[in-house]
Amino acid sequence: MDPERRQSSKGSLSEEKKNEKIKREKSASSSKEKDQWVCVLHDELVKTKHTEESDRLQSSVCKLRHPRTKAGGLYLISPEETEIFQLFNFKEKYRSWFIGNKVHSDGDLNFTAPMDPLFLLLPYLMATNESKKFMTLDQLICDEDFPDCVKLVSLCSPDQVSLISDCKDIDDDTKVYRFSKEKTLSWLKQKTEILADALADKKVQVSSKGSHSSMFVRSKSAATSRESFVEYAHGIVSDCLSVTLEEELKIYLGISDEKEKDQDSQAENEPPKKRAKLEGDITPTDDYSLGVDLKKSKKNTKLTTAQKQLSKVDKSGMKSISSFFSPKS
Amino acid sequence: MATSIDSTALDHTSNVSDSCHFMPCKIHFDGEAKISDFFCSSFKHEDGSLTGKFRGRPLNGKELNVPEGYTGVVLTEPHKRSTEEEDRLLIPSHTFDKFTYWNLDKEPSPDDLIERALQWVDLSAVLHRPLSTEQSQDSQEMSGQGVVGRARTTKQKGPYRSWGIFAIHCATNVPQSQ
Repeated sequence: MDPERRQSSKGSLSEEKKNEKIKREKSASSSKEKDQWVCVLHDELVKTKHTEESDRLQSSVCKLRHPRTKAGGLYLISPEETEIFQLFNFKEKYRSWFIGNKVHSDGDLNFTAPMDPLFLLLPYLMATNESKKFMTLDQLICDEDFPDCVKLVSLCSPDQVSLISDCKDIDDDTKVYRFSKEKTLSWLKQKTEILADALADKKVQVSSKGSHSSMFVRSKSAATSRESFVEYAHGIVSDCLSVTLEEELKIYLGISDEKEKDQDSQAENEPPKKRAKLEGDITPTDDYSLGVDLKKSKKNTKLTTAQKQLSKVDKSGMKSISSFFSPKS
Repeated sequence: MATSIDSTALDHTSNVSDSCHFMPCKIHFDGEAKISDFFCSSFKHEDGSLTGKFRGRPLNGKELNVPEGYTGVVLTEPHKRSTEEEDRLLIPSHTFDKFTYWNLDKEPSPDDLIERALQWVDLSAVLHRPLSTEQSQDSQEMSGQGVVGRARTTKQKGPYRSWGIFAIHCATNVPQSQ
């Protein structure tokens, strides 16, 4: 029986023991040499035409600067260096793989998704914005930390780059570029709109009020507004943009932060209330307070024999018994 | 320093589409096991749903196809490099175009994280498709100045972050073998 099971049968572990257990597991998995990865790769990366030349070309894994986090991210480049893909890691807490008749303890799934190289180029373009100089792609893309960035030069076609920048032709073959905010925002807006259309097509849940289960049946279908889809799409696009550009795009698209409560409440039409609505003034049918007048004096209560005798006596010099029990002044 | 994937080896891989299972439990073991004898024999197909048993626990499974234009690949690194500077080569050992994912005692639904992850691949493709130059030029003429609105710093992260619940993040390290 494995040790984890034995421990849990003793009852809840204390915090310390839990942390120790996590540390042990982590060190165990990192010391275990990972040499197998389950991936979902785009066909461009794995299916090559078998010619003599292309047999020598291979897909490569590169580390490039992520446009949002500014740290390194992993990207895969196709053998002919024409397409680039972002590498994502899907990790759920308790997952493992069975592959054929083999057990694979690492339950991660690595998958690739296409990446528009212009998103990777943008930070470099924007960095030169202050100087307002026109530069060639080679000059623009310089990064000491990420030498693989030179591959971006071949990945970005001049037509595409001109979508986000002003460009000039120098000496016939050389093209120089300068960041253009208007062009970039327009390009981003288009991307956001296309993405919003896709979200609407796939009926993705985009409302901000909590999460929705797709299996929950609502009494009336809520029509999600186009604005919510655009806002959601803006969020997804911003994952590839710097914070300042995200803010500028938000203004450009006209997305406001105000929460529209009416929209949200209308979205969920609850089933009709069971309580019948009352009409007119609500008064109780029997009002028991009407007969009582609190200001009237209380009825005379009967006095006991002792109380009768006391009332006949002159009480002017008498102390009440409670005065013997009061605290010393 | 470079890491590459040898795609020519794809022809020599075995297709494991029928025996690729994504289990709802963490198994601290790597190696051969009699999966087909003990696990696959417990499968039952009833009313279009798939159930199985593992270590006495009920599992509900669903077959998922790998998105179109993609291939599931199991990459291995047969030779570990001895220095940091050496190139790394990853070789596919198995391929699959579908796999079965299992939930512990819960019906598979489109809300399951793995399904959403694969849906993300499609959405990402839409976002990252390069725009044609004609499309972009038209929109530039139409867009004008855009709408002026108040710039506010977002205090809370937007709703799209719910995709983040399945921990999607850039793999920042090249798969470590040490």
